[in-house]
Amino acid sequence: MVKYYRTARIPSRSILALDHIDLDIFPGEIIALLGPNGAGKTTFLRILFGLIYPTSGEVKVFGSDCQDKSWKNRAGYVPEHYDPPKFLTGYELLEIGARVNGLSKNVFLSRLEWLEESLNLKEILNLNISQYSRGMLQQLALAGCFIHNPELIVLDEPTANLDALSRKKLQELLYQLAQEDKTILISSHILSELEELCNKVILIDKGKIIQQGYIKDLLTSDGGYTICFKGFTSIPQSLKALGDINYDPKLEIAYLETRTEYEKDRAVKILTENNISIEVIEPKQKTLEEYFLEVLEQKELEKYFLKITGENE
Amino acid sequence: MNKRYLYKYFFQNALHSFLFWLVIFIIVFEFALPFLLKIPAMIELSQSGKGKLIERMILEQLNLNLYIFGFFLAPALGIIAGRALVNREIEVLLTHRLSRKDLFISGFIFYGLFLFAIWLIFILLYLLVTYIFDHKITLDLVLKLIISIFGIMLPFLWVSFFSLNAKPIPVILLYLVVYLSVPPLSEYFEHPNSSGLEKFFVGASKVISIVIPQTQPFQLIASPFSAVDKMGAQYTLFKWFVYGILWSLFLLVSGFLIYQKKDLIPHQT
Repeated sequence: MVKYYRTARIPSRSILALDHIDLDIFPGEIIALLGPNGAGKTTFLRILFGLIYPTSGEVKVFGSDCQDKSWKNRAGYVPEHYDPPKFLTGYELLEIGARVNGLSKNVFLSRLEWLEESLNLKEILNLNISQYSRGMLQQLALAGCFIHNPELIVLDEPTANLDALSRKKLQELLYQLAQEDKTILISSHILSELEELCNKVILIDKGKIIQQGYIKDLLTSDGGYTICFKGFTSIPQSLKALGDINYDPKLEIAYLETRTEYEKDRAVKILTENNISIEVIEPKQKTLEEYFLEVLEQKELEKYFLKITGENE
Repeated sequence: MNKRYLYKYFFQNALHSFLFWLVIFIIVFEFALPFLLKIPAMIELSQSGKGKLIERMILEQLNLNLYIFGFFLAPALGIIAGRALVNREIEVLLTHRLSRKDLFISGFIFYGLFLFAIWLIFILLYLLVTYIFDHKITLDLVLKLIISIFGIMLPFLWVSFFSLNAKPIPVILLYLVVYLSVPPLSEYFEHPNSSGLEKFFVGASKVISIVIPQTQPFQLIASPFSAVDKMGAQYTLFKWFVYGILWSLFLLVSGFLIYQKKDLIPHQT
């Protein structure tokens, strides 16, 4: 899929927002859509919900064209800039959303009761939307997304403007929905929140997918290991040269952080030679934030080298 | 899909628009109420010797009101209808089980029926006056009154068509410039002794004239003093009717096709 934004009548001044995005999302996946500002994440999500059109290519949701309304009662969307009609109350807006999605009055009321608890909405629903703060609007957007119990949940910066309590409630709700095998696609800049929830990552930069994969694979560091060992009187000097060692006096366990596969093998050899018992050897995990920055820095470096080699040639 | 909720949405959207209340206020207090309050006086005058002249003057006033409605108020409603379909708020609805077709049709049915109701008030007032003054209601008059609906429908559709793509102020300016300047321009440049440059301007103004429907004849079609009666010698009522229908369909269908393929970009809408 490709998307150009026309900024003027001259085609050459168009902005390439999405550059040949080719992507499959399967039921039950919980995906973090990452990328720097202006990467094309919001454009992608707006195309998915038929608010804008791709310049070329097609998007299918539940097997139907994304512009088709037939699947929309199976999906919920929280846009980045939520701007609901100010002349309605929160309750009226949720009712319109639920009823056009085919919910009966009774089902709507029971879902609403559940959402009031889950998202802390009790005091705001009867207020006119014009009286809402940004945080309240975000809570309403989330309620509008979940009211019809969708199978596909698409969230664009869902925690923006939320206070700590609402954030926590949303996190709990998302965990609950993940347990129910919902498909969730989240775009957010708060990576620590995504790390625990998501099982897949898609990284977009300048309209292109630069990396995608399962979070457990992507966050595993190349060659880095943590070795836990105990049953020693003193730590061998040769081991100290292989990496940082931390000692937990309560558990009487030491942790060695190696950077490479070779260092790990050397450490195992030294520990075995010194009759020290190895408890666990596990690959070192990066945080999602570390991974995100690492990939972007690598991209920047590649660009820099390409520039230099181009200049030299 | 429960369309009731969409109509409710458009109704509430209209209720929160200043222009909507302005239209209602002018219709009630400027157009309808003064006539209704003068009914006893009209009945009294209808028996006097000047009854015929007074009837023509009242009908002319009613027709002028219809002209004002078509020229000022119907475009105002057109702006509300057009903007209601592309504002940022509509995105919230579009993420639910609604298509652009549902929104377009519901929006135009709602505002179309509202316009129709106002037009009906005019027509009933017109018929009431002719009845009070014992004027014969001929088939020709009834047809003229029916066709006069295009006098409000066409400016409404024209402005709403442009409002789907541009902000209200440019649309109003375009409407005023085209509406006020094009017919005289083309008449002027159609003079037999016009030069090549003048003919170029004729061509250009004709092109613009194609874009804007010539609604004035419809607004004055039922006027007892209207120049349209003279035009009637050249154009039959049937031709006017076909003209109105074709323009309405053109504006509705092309408006829908544009809306269907339009990117709803927040900073542009």
